[in-house]
Amino acid sequence: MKERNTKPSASARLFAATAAVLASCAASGAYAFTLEGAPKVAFIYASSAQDGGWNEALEAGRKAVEEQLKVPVAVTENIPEEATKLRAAIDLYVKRGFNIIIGTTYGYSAPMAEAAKAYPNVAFLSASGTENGPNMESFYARTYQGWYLAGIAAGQATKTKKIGILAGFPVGVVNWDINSFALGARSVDPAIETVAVFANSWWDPVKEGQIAQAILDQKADVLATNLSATSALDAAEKAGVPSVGFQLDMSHAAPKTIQTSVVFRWEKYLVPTIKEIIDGSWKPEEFGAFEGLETGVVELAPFGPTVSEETKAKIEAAKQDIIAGKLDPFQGLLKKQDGTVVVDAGGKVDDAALWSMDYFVDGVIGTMPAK
Amino acid sequence: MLDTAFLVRRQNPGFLLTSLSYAGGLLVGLTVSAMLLVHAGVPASALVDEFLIATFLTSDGLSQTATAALPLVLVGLASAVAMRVRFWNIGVEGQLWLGAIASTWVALNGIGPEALRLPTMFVLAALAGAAWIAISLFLKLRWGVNEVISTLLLGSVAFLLVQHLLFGVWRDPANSFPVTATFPEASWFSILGWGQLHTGIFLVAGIALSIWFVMEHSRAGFYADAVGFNAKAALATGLPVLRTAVGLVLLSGALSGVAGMMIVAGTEHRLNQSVGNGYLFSAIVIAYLARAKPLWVIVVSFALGAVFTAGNVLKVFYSISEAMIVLMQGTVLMSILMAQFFSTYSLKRPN
Amino acid sequence: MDFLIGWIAIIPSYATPLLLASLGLIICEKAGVLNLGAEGLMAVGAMTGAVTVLSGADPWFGLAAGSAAAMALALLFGISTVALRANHTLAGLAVVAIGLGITGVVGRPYVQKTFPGIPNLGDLFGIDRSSAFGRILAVQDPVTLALPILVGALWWWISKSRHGLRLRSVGENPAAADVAGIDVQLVQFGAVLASGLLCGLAGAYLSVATSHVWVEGMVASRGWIAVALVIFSRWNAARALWGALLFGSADALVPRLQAIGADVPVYLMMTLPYVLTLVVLVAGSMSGRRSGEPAFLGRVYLRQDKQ
Repeated sequence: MKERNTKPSASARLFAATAAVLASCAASGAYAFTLEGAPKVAFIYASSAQDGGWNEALEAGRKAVEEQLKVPVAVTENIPEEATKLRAAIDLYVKRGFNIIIGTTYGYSAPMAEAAKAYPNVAFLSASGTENGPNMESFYARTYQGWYLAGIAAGQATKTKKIGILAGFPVGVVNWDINSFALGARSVDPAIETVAVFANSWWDPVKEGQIAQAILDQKADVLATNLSATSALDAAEKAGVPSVGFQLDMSHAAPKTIQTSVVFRWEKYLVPTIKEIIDGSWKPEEFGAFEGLETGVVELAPFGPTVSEETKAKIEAAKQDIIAGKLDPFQGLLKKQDGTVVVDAGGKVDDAALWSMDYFVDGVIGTMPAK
Repeated sequence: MLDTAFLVRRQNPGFLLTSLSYAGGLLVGLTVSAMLLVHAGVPASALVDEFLIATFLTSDGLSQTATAALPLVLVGLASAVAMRVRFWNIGVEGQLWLGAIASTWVALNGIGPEALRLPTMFVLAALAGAAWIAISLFLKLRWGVNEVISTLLLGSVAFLLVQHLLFGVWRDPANSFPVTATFPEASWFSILGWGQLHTGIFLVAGIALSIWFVMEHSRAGFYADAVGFNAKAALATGLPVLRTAVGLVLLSGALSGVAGMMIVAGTEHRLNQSVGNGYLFSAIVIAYLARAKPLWVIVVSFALGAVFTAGNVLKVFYSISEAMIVLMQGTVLMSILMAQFFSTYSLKRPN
Repeated sequence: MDFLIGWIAIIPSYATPLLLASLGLIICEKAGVLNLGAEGLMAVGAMTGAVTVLSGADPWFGLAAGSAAAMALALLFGISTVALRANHTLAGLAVVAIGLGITGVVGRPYVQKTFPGIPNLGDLFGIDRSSAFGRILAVQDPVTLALPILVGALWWWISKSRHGLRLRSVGENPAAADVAGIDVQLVQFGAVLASGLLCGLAGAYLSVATSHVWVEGMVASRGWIAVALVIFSRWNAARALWGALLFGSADALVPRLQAIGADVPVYLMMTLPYVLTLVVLVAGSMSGRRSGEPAFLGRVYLRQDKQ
């Protein structure tokens, strides 16, 4: 969390309090760390590395690390998000001299933090994690920036003024994608509404296809999926509806109708960070690494054949504004679905509030489960 | 099919024959599994070096196995006591989730004095598990609703209840991930200083021994074996058989509930969506292979814990996938099942 | 109205795989063999169907291949339970593990690759979608359309035909069936293979007809729902149809309520299919109907045991 608002929210204070404890051993905000022994890197996945989505995007980063840094990189798949099983895997790796461990799901975060305390000379990187420390850094990308651009593409494409997005679970990192997508579309036309449905799974292509149909039945004429399976895009292609994919370039699933995909380029974070760890210049961020369009950790895949030049130009302009800091998807005036004001004009949602985002913004039609 | 020969159930198979067929089945299953592993690229020599030695002959391996075995013993016992009264508890995971919910509630809200935090969690987890199975029990006794379906369906309901809480009141407020806050340390079983093994082992040992006593040395065990879960026959005998059966079924739910507590208080220290997964399969397999005998449940649970430890080694160093490990478990189970045939039946030619 | 039409139109895609699997299990269990392996059989069907189509075969052939592969696994189940008299519950669980495991191992290179599925009626016959009926009919596929016929035929076959009588007698009283000259093991083997065929078709339907892609674990507990549906339907094919529709409609409702922004507790709503099933079961029992469970279900028959 590199930039923070002057008036921290409750959760920002929570973050800060945790950080204060953790940072007590460090000098000036960031931690210092030195690696012992020859660098050996290990990636631990919660499911198959070849999942065609989230893991595969990280897998591309892993391959880049192996090729560019010429260090040994091991892979373990299917370690469930349970403390005992993850810890056993980490112990085995550390015993064999592996000293840079990358965990790939938020469910690993807390057990990894415990392991990081037990092994102070091992570096831990936690994808979409929540814990940080002297030898541990969580990393995620400002995916909402990419989704804002995708929202512009959707806003340009829609005729019914209704677009849809299918997502997994109502967690902060997903909610901000939905909201930003809706806001991007509204930047084209404030009348556009966004239908959002949670599948309540990360991985059920049957259900995702069926939910895609439910969204299309609401007269949405652009369909985005925040999940990995291709079945929703396949449904959109069949219906001749423009679509947006996520995590990897999904154009293979809907070659005719896809607009673009919001993709991760983890090598842009992993290669320099692991290089720093090896060089001894690594200083884990207090609040984790959280990069966006400016470093290219998040970007848009090549546009599909139906995207107009006008749309491309609009997206490019917005992208440059975001990189330059002139535009923030969550800038005021921002209202929730029920009309309450989140941020007044001139302000913007700070990072802590982003992570705890548990609402839809104005213009989204959908149900926050369990609220 | 077997017109020229009769299949006859052996009256008294004898220890040797039983052990031989068991071992034979195990051996065939393990051999097929080893062939699968070698085919998947694990060098045959490594099977011994890494797999057997890392699992059984290293301190780390053993402590991992012991830690993993604790909840397994509990769910194995849960399945076993229900099996003894012919009640098919297919809802072990559901009762486990309820136990986990109850203990999480106690831990997060600091119910009761700190010194009594763990006992409070224990009691409420047991009650919650028992209450969840009590629904199926009631439906069966009152309306004859098949317990296979009711425990199975209520298992799914319990998981959705967990999700409702994890995405609702218990979500991590800082990032809205479906993980509760870490429990205060008063709600943790203390670490014994050997890997992740914790004081929960004493609780599990006490429970297992009590159940062994109840099942093998008390009338309850006798009634259970004599009549099983048949309400009509039970009433006809005039013995408190029905009461025994009801008690054992509730005990089954309570044990599953305590397994949930063992997981969240022993190793996880928080509740998330995946801590209870996979225990149903383990519970039934353990209870069956142990023939519902409490002491054997302990042995088989440790064996299964060792399989998990070994599986972890394979995953980490040979990139063997979970699917391969599941396939191996299925293969071993199937071959043991098939091998039982040879000790249970004999072929007789008609005179 | 639009909401209703969309909802009704999608229900069959939820119900079809559940129903196909339940029908297979009903045949199997009518012969006295308790089959808890549906999840594994469906996984094999789903993976094989997808791999077959990805290798360039016609989607229809993919459905057939999925059924055939699941029959092979059912054969193993039959050898263990029928020939070697293994415990049905455990053998069923072993089938689940083997099915889920082998599909993960074999199917690994085929994950997340889209392929053409079977066409729907709209594609095949150019059905006019202007009426509500047309809109609902156009999105159905031939498998779904054939299902009511299959249900009717199975119901008649099991409860009225001579072969059905033999099947039922094996599940109710194998000793009597044996005396009457019925080959008990042969009937049970046939029934087990039939369950493989239909569960495999159900699995292949998920990959080939519904989602046009295969991923590990895509059966996602639908096999277990099918097991529950069998008990729900009291081992009656016709009632399984209603059960599958009830379950499917409850399941299809939740995302549709979200899509219109209805203010409902989503996870609690998702318990609806399970709770409804229990309620209907209780109501059925209260009205004093028999459970329909075959008397010899899950038990081992030996000729020496006959009285």
